[in-house]
Amino acid sequence: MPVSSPAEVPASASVRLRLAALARAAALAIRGVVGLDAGPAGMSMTASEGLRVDGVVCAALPDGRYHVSVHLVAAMVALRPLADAVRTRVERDVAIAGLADRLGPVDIAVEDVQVRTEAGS
Amino acid sequence: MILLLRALMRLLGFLLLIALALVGLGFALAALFGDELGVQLDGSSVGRWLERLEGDGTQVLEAVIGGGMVLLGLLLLIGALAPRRERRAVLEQGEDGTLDARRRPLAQMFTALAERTRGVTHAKAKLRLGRQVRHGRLVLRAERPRTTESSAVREAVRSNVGELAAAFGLKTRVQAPLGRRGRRVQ
Repeated sequence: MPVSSPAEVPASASVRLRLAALARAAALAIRGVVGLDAGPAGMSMTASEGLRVDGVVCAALPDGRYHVSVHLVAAMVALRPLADAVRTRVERDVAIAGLADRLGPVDIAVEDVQVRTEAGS
Repeated sequence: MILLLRALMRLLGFLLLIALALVGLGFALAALFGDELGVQLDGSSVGRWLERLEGDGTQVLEAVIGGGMVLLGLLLLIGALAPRRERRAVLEQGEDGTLDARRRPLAQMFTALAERTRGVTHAKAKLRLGRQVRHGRLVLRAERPRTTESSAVREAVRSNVGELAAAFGLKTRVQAPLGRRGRRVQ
């Protein structure tokens, strides 16, 4: 079942799944992120215990932390500030959830760009 | 091309495995129950073919088939060993993580930036990424009306996309041919 909010993930769920849900919500809260993308084969996701977070890949590191990759669809904005904003928001939300020590590097992968047409802008 | 080879490799690999299993089964049955089943190579067409090969050396047909099989084997190896991950344009890579983008949306961004340039009627970006990180080539075709100088358009487009292209380590080439009739100037 796809997860759209961290509230849908039970507290007993794995840290991996909780981190993924937090990262997804954090990324979507940033202006300039149009959406998250699980890729053409739907492989860019984190699944555990029957739940699935699309667009975020959470992988365990040897030191006990988790490497988070956020696969996003961006608006036509500067990418570096966008990535910084997403990282900062993910770090903040993860810290609020008490999982700061489990968060490793956060990769930002731009899977698509939504270029607004003249008629739509 | 690589995708095609990969699909071909999967299909042929599957068919070859079935063929190999059937041949193996046939040989096993012939070895175990050859006499009861009446399998005899002496005097059969296979036996005669083997005798001809041994007697006259390599024949043209056999050489072509052999060469074809070697070529097929090489193609299958390429399909099996070619890198599976698509090349991505990396903007930054550090301890905090990586920021990268797929080729197609990045080309869309360059197209959109070029089309926003004054005097450009239509633009198209072609992006080729190198094997190494932060290596690639961007070719931008920005069409212009007769009233605009080619060099001015090239310069303006270069100034619009230059920063982003440099951030991704792309070598940029801008072409500014005359546009087709009916296309509007930005």
